Amino acid sequence: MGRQYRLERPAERSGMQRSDEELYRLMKSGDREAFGELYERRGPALRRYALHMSGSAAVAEEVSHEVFIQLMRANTNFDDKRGSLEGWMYGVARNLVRVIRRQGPVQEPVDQPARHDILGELIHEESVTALHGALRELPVLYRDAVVLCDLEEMSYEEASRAMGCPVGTVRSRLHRARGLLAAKLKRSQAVSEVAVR
Amino acid sequence: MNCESARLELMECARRGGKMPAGLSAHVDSCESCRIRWQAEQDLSDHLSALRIPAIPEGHEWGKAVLMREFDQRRRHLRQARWMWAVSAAAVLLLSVVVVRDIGERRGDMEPSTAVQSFTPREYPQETFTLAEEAGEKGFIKLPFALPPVPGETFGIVRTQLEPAQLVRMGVRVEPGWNGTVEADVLVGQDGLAQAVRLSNDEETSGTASQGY
Repeated sequence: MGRQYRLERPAERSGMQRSDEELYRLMKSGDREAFGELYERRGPALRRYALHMSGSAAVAEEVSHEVFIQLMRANTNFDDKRGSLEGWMYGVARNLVRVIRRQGPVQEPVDQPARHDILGELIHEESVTALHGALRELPVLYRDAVVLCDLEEMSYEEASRAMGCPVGTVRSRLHRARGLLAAKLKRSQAVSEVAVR
Repeated sequence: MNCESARLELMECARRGGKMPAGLSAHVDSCESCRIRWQAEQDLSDHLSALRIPAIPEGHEWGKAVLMREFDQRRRHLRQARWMWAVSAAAVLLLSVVVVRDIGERRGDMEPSTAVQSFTPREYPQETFTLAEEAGEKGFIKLPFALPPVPGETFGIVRTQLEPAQLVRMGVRVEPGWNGTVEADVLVGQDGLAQAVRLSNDEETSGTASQGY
């Protein structure tokens, strides 16, 4: 099977750290370091999320960049009374991925294949390829649950903040999504066995 | 335990990668479909772990550098915009103050003055022009503003018509309301400037002028 990674959760780094919302306020008042800290904290996860959701490294890069650009704008529609900053960021990323995917297939840059083709390195195995395909075919809400809970290894509480829905909903979506994925994986394995014979 | 609740727990066990509780294990042993599902859940968890991406994807630092530059640029633009607004506001304020003050001054000029201005013409000492007297020309009054004559300077006499304003400028007291002209002899030095004046006795004037000195 492919490589396995242990994801470092932002909360694990230090016990006393400023909240996202606090960093956002500081950033809005012109604090450069606060912006850098926010990017360090949320940037990699957002990029991974966009990569899983879109299946394209180029889209992932564009989406994660655009989320922070939107955050910088003077007329950002983020309101901490309506939800967490993390949820807002994932929401923006989700919408951007949806918009880009609706525009059609994405042209990956050909001059830097090694640099951007992270997924290409991973999906060399047939079953993983099939699973990746199955993941991309899942409805967005189910895909969201699998990406955040299983690939990003978020807790249900964290995923519920990112998805903007109750914990129970996250759990039921994940259960349903895993059922669909397991069925697709089983089908593709059966096809492979027939082909081998 | 029914299959529905068992499958939810199977999912959690597969995700955690831990052992099944005794009750769940007993159910799986006795239920064929749940055993298949347990196997599928384990396979799926293994496969999904292979899809995970390194914690910090490639290009992270580059992306950060680009965003930090963008951040700095936006801050600069914002500062410039604020500065421009401040300067514009100050300019508008200054202009308003100037305009208001100007309007106020103009109104003050236009309003008729209520204060009565009393004006008393200065009385100059009456002095005859001795050089003319010595030459036999009588009645010349020395102009108070004229420079003293240079020794040996020669003078010419010019007969002319003078208006009241001209007489006043020369220092001759004129009765108010007189608007005629008077014939006068003006003693002019070599520099072309008047030194003394003599009013004619011809009555061409509608009023009178008196010599003020």
